[in-house]
Amino acid sequence: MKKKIGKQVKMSESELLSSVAAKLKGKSLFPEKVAEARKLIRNLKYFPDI
Amino acid sequence: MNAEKYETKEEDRSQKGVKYLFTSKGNSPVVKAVHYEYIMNLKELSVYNLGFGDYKDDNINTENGDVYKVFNTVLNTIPKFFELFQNAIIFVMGSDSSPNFVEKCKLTCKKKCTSLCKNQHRRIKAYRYYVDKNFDALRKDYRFLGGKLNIDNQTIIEEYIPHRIYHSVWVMKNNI
Repeated sequence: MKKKIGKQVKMSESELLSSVAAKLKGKSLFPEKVAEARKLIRNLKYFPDI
Repeated sequence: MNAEKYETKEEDRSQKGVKYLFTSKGNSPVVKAVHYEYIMNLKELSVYNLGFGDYKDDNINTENGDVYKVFNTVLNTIPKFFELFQNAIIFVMGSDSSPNFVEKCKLTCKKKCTSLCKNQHRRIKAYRYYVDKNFDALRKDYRFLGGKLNIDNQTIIEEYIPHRIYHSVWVMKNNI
């Protein structure tokens, strides 16, 4: 539910999160970290049995 | 985990991972995101990176006066993640542990660090501190591994031993 404050329209928290979620959909948020992790894993010297 | 935490909103679930969004309501509202993102397969299990940060910039630590509540919120997404991805391994390495972090930090940091960067490895230290402190309880449900460098500067992964210095922490459910 939007609340009017003067001439501004303020989003509710739920609307804000939905708006952010829509902008982030399908995107990698931390691509550099994932790339570093991938590099680290590819160069592992030892990993124990699972 | 009964400590105070924010409610999270699950978003964008797929084989590539899942996101959890929440609003930090400290001094001012800040949207934060936790992203479990697929890295690659290892020993027939899927490894996911646990990434966390402000919606706008992971390298910013917004001092919003609610650091413990935010940290607990992030931790609380771990069992939620494992409900969705049961045969997964979570890989945790702080954004302040990356090779080029110190160089970037020096550009804006107000601390007058000389040889060692005081901001480096803060995040992984926080995770390790939590695991070390709650290890006996956590290991009932989870298996932990720790990553460290050997004398040849190669990364080896071992069964986690509390209070050892690891640059990465790996978590999986027991009895996979």
